[in-house]
Amino acid sequence: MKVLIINANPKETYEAFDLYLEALKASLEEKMNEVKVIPLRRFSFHDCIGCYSCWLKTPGICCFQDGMEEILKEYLAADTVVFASPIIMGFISASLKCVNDRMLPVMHPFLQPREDRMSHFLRYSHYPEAILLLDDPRDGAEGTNGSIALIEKVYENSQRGMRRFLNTGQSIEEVSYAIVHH
Amino acid sequence: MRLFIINGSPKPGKNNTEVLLKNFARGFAETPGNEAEMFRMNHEEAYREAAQRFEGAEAVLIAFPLYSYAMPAGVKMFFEELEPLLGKCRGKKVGFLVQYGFAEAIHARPLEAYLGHLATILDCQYLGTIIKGGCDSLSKNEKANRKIQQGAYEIGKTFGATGGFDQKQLDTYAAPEVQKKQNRLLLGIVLKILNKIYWEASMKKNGVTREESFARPYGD
Repeated sequence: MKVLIINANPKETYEAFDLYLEALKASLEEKMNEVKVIPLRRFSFHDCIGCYSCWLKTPGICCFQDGMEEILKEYLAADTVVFASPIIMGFISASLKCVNDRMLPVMHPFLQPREDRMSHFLRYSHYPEAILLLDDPRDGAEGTNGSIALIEKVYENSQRGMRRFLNTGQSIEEVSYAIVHH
Repeated sequence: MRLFIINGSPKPGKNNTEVLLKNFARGFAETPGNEAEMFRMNHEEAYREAAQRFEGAEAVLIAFPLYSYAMPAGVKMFFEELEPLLGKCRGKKVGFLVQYGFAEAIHARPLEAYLGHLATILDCQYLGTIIKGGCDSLSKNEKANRKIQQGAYEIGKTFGATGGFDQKQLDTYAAPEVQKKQNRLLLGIVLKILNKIYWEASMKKNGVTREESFARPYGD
């Protein structure tokens, strides 16, 4: 299985988060998975500006060619993608939000009903299983408590995933098992 | 009252958020003595400046389009700039405005819960969140959307006069909450037409055919 871990920890000083992901990678590799970790701190991505070029001018391709296209390719090629983010101000980090926003090219503008609401067409036929891995709610900054449930509510209805939630308060073994067995 | 309004639309130039804000501000200013200042926040220095201005403001309205179920990344960056103010904003009023293309209010409800939480951890007085769907072409065709603009004006007027939001008024404005079961078949037909006359026509202007619009450049 191909696993992609997006490390959206913006703080170099928050080493424990990076170390957790390294240990998770090792644990997944032990289970014969091919694992790649992309630390977003190494990049400086443009924010999505809502220009709709990726929908209306160059279908599936963003107007910014700043390396995000490589992440989109890795995302689409993976079986499972783990979006890993500390909780900052009660929400996922701005750097993970930037990646989320820049995923607009994997959608298509056409609208369709989905149960009780409108939704967009999907551009691709296959999408990876997406997991949101948040940091330990017990030792986070102020405002972290109670935030996990709120974040889960925001993403539990998302159309292309991030419907499964884990946190680094769980043991590596538990998280790695949950990633492999879904 | 002095109101500091932050427009967090990342779009360069004209934007739908601004159309709603202009109307809100017009309603707000109807009460003598009220003053609103609009601040455009769509680049990195602006996030920092907005955070500084937020600290000194009496009341703040933070407005943005819904991106991928939540606030755009830049607005989140601004929230992160507010970290030193956690628990230190007693007495400050903060409200939000979220607009987007889908018609139903339900898309923004989970985010609304988070925004209330954010106000709480800052120790602000939470005013509420103005939610409005169906705003996709607002700035392109202001005249066709008088009702949407009128609603923003009315909410601004209430806020200007009372210093608060009226949740009933916000819910009426945000409607429909979801699509009723009996309307779903019809919605499917309406959306098919919309795809043709709105999206397909917009692509065509750029020389992109319907077929080409489904391109899969990065896989299958």
